[in-house]
Amino acid sequence: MFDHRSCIASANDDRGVRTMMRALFLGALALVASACSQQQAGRCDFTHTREIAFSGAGADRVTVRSFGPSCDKAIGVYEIADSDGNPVWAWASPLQRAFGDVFTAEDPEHMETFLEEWSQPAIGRTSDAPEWAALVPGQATLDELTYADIRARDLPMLCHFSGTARQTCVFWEPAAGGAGHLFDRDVEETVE
Amino acid sequence: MRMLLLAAAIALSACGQDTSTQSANACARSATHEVSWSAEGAPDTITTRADGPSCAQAVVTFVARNSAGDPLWAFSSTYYDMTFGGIPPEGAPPVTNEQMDAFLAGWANVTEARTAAFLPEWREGFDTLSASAQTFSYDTPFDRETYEMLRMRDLPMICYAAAVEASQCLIIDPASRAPTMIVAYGP
Repeated sequence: MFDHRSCIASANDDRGVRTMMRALFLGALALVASACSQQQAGRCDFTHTREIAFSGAGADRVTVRSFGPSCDKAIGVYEIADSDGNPVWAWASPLQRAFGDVFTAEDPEHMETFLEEWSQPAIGRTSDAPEWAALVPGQATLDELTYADIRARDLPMLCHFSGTARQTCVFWEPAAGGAGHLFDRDVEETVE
Repeated sequence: MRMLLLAAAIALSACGQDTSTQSANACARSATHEVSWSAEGAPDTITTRADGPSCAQAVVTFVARNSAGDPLWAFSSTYYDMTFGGIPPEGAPPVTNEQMDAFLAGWANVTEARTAAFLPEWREGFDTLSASAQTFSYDTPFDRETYEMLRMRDLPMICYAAAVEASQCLIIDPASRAPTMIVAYGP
């Protein structure tokens, strides 16, 4: 009777077929890993997203991104989007310019750690903001009356790091369904 | 053979993650434009890009890099705020890739100018640059003496759109060699 089986006599004697298959398997995996990582090779393109409660209408989302040819030359973008995915605030800066020489081309993992920490804003109320008289020129971009009105209305406020020991605070305007810059402030804690 | 099929399945699974990333960023588009700004004979590159689940919901970013690829400046806003102002109303029409590409190309094509020729004089006796200029509304972070010193040095400058009706102009500070905004202006 014609035997369709191969000439393999036993599981332990496969004439190298299993070894070859194992090599092919590992080779295929290596090829896959190579192909799928080519998009990121040598670049500093990372993203971290976190749900937050800012606007009070569903879950908002913070997305922080770095992108650039290497992590010492990366741009950082801070985005806040509402529960429908509409962006309500965006801020960007060269990261070394904002946070100093803490990002190196050789340590992309540090960037991922940074983004995770950066995505954690401080949530408060505009009544926590300093009085107009306590601000220095340039700290707020609004005029005095508007600033005082927003502060008195006790609106949601979100502060994110925009530099070493520096935060940018934005307020949520429910009437417009958007966010706007309120003021910048120095803080004691820093993002590592 | 089963092992090869398993490897292929893992491959599809691994690369499938990239696909889901792409769908979360369905409006990943960009444009570039070369300018002569930070150093003579070494062109800088302006890159504008969009990221978002749809082009109507995109965050748009403006980046200037020198010829070595070092980032000089970055600015970010939302597409809707840059084109219409505010946030999109309920039922706003979708934004096509072509519309986004046209916006990004136009945004990257910054105005190149010299400070002395382009910027208004801050005349003596006026408290603010805006009061002195009497045309657009100008805002500068500098006092009159510094502003006039920088303006008269006739530095290369680029100006880019920062909102529907607002622009910001950048120079390289001759002292620190750092990119600096010298004025923001609008109606």
